[in-house]
Amino acid sequence: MFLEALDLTKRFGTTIALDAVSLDVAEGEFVCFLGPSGCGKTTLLRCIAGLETHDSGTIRQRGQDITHQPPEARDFGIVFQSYALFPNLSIEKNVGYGLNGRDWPRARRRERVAEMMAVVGLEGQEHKYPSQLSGGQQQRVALARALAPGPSLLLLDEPLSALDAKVRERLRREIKGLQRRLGVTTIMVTHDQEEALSMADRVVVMSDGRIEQVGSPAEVYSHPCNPFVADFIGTMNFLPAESSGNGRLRLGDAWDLTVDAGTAPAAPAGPVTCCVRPQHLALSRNGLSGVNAFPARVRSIEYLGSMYRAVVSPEGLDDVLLRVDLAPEQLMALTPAPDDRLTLHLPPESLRLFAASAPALTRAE
Amino acid sequence: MTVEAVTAAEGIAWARPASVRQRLATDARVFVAVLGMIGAFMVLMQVVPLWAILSRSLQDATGAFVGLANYATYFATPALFQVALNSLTIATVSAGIVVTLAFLYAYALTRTCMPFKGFFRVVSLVPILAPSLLPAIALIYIFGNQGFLRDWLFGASIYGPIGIVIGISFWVFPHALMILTVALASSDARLYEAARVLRAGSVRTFLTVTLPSARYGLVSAFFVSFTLVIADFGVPKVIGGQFNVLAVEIYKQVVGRHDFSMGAVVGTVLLLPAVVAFVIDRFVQRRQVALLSARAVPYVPKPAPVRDALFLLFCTVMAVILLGILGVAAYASFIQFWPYNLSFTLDNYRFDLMDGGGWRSYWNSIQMASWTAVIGTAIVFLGAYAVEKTRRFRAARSSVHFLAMLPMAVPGMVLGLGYVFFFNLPGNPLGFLYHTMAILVLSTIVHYYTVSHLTAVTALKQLDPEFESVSASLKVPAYRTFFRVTLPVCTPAALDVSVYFFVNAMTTVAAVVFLYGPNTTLASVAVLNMDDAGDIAPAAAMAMMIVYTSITVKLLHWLVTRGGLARTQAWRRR
Repeated sequence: MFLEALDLTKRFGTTIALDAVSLDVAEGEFVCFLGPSGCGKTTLLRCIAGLETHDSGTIRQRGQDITHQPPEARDFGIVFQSYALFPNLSIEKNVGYGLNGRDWPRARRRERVAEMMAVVGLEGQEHKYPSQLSGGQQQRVALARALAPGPSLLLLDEPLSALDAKVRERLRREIKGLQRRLGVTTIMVTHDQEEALSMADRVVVMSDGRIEQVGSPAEVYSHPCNPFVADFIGTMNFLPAESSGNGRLRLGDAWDLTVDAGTAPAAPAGPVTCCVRPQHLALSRNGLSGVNAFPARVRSIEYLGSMYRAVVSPEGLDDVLLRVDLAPEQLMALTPAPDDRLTLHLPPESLRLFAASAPALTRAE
Repeated sequence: MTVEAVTAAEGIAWARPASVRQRLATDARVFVAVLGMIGAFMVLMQVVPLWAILSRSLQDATGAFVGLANYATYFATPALFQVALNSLTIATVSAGIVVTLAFLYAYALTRTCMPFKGFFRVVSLVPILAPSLLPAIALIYIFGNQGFLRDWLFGASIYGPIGIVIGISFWVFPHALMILTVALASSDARLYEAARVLRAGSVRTFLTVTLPSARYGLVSAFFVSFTLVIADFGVPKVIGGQFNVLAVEIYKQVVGRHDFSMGAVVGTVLLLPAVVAFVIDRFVQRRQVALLSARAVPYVPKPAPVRDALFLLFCTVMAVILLGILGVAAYASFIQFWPYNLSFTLDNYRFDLMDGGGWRSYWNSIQMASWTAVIGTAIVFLGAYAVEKTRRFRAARSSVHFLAMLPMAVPGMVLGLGYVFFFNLPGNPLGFLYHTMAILVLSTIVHYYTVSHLTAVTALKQLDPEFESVSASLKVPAYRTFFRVTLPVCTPAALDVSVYFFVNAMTTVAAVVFLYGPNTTLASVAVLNMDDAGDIAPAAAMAMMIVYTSITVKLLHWLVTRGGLARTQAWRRR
């Protein structure tokens, strides 16, 4: 393994920032730490860099124990959310800042700076100062500076969150492409799930100082391993239910649901939380035919640009609110209005079950 | 996942977490060393001398321990006890007057559309350029026995509380004004818009929005003024007459009666109210920070002819007083013999013919101020950098920060007396410093450390906190980043600090009055001694020399900041 973290624990006073976290990162991989603020993702990154000292645990890079090494002795480049560009040095000098000593004679250094400027597409800006560049350009300078000495590990601490949405999306692709071309092992911290899903080879979902799930973007999205991950990534509906243990669920008094055994294996009998994504639910005026079709009442319709989102309540369960995504043409066909009575379809293969004590059940926003 | 879960469970079950200690990098060692050196400097130059005063106040003339006997004597002597009451009264009254006037002045500068704001801003800073002896001398010319406005006092004497209050109020005014200008300038326009939308009248808006948002500034200004007044030696020494205050009493006990024990007692008594005022001020300032939100919209005043005219009138009167006092001192320094022979002369500037050390004192002062500016700025920035940028060692960092805040609370007379005791201790290896230029420089650096330290810390805080992390990741030693980035970016602040040190070193009397030697007389002390000897016109002339010097330095600073610095700070332009 390229990087191994074993049992890292870190306390700030009484709060536990990292609770016995263990993680492996393979060489050349792009890993994202994803989680809400305060989940410990930045602390974990800073411990790997040595900028924060953890209380216990071991960190190995290429098999070598670096736990007790100060950051100066470790091999990494880092980009911060604020970029931390030196304001009084030109772009060229910023990029060449780490190219010192015997390894970098003047000519080689100049060559490397030019090379890095080309890599990040900032040729011709060498003599400007950071304040004369746009946020996105400053971000690229920070990236070039971190990569110039050729570190084997690149750490990115929320590198895109200070940028406009448009610039952010473009830089997302650029950073990913650059990482793939250079093959540098990269760890990025973010609270933006879209960023994590679109850039990472593997996503590490964290909360409360613990790792909740590690997996490819598709895995954590379609197979969340617990209600937290299900709720945090994408939009999710939660239904409190009672499992009979044989592939059938009861909601309230009247509802009897069929669950696909393949996707929700062997839920034990007892209270469970049933999860389903808004895009997997369907509404119709076809009457109660088919599997898992139930009467529901429309509460409101939201317009979200590319689609519509209906909020409906199952009949007899007025305090449960479910979000259903509708394409514009579906909406045209259906023309739902508040208080309409429609049929709600819950496809058995899209239902996921977790043992109860799920997050808040009704989360109409 | 299961493997990790098991490992985690094992970790909790039986592997007692061993504490991880990072190996210290060379950089970190340098930081710790600097932190230790600054801490040792502050302890040696401040804590130990204060301790020397405290212990001396518990001894009799022979050095034998007598417990609180000296304090008993002090409080049993009505005349001495009265001195403490006098000091508290003067400080309270003066601080009240100063804060009221400064609030109105600051309000005019920040909340009205009065014209000539730039002019009034500059004029308000004039007192800072002069030693506190100057307003007292000028007041003697104006209201003294030969004064041209003596009748305005209706028979009361300027020598005493009236003179002290007027003189010290002049001198402290800019300090209170700076605090209140900041407090009033940093208010949120949206609060005023909200008040207006809710139809609150102007009086109600003032009471419910303006005053509350400035209240921490007001409290802070009051206690800073209080501390400055109670610690001041120059004004009451010159114009106090028979009215005695603590700062002068220390001088009398030590220099006049050679009663060092009683001097130490008076010093301790003076230290108390100053420390209390300081603690309250620190507490209030901490609250003030929390009050300001980064998203506040700055308030922009709208014209209101009547209000603007009234404030213009008020500020004009204040400017006339401020410039008048300075002008009288300047005028008197060029006059043959007040008030009988008003012809022009430069004789008063022939200091070599008078007591007080002559022109030598002036050049000593220049030398002392230059050393203080250079060495003080270096120490302050190193200290602030170590406090701000060292990772870990939190306890050591906050102790050094506390030691840096302490000088604000210690009156110069107390600090000076502490040095007398400490450096005269038999067997003190540092004893050779006594009466040298070095001790004058060191005491002045310590005396004015707090404001300089805060300026440096503020400048450093504006830098990205991750500069050091970036250099570490790029394997660039921290000292390189300090010289290539931190220092250049902080140059304007460093210049501010050095000018602050220089001007204060020129004007200060309090600490150095105990420490100068036959070869190290200073201009400010010469003013005091010439005034003591009755040579009041030469005293005014020497005080004006200090003012001319301060103005020159301020002008140079302004030119450097506007002109030369612009080139090295090109990166600041967009």
